[in-house]
Amino acid sequence: MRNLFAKPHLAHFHWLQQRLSAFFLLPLSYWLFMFAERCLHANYSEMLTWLHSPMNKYGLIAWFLLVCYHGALGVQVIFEDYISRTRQRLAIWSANTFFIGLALCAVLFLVQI
Amino acid sequence: MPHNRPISPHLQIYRLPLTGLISISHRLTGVLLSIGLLGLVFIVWQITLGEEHFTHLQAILNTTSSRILLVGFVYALLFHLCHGVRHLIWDAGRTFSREKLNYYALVELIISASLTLFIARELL
Repeated sequence: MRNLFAKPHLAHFHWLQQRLSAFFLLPLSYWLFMFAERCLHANYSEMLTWLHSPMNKYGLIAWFLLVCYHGALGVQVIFEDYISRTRQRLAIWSANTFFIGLALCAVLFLVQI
Repeated sequence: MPHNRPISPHLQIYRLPLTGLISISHRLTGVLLSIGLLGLVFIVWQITLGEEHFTHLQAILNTTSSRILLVGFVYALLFHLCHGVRHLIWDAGRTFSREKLNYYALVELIISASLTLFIARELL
């Protein structure tokens, strides 16, 4: 524990980023559930009012960004464990493209609302 | 080379203990949630397109099959979250004894299921 933030080794960095993103995602889940509730029950103007509040807008944006980062880190480990060396690079590259694409779309959509 | 050497436990023969099942489920739910993320981004997209798209989407989201899928997503998320919290506790070097591993595996399952019931009730 003492050296948690020391020694910037690549694997250690990956591990730390995974944990830090997880830690910050815990409270941010609140915005996801609030958003989901409104998706099911709010009318369009209520939805827009909720999304126009900076707390909600940036809370949701932060959730999307962090969750995509957390997902990319996690899927990378799974691919490293289960996919042969020769195909690993392509698989991880595809997964990263998927998550970067999703994060970009989410942010672009949320900013323009 | 003799062919009767011992091999490592094979997944189809070796019965995984509860802790092992939960561990692989953590990965599985992680992948499923990533796929579910596509749906969430799609919802946000529909909101940007205007009121007509949103009300149409909302009608679809409120069908029984969508609701079942949604509760599944919530459960996957909360299970992944609860197991993630245990990983954070392990990273602090705690609860590694066999009894505690088994005990907290059960605690985690109960908490994630109760949280899902609570949130599903609030959502639906």
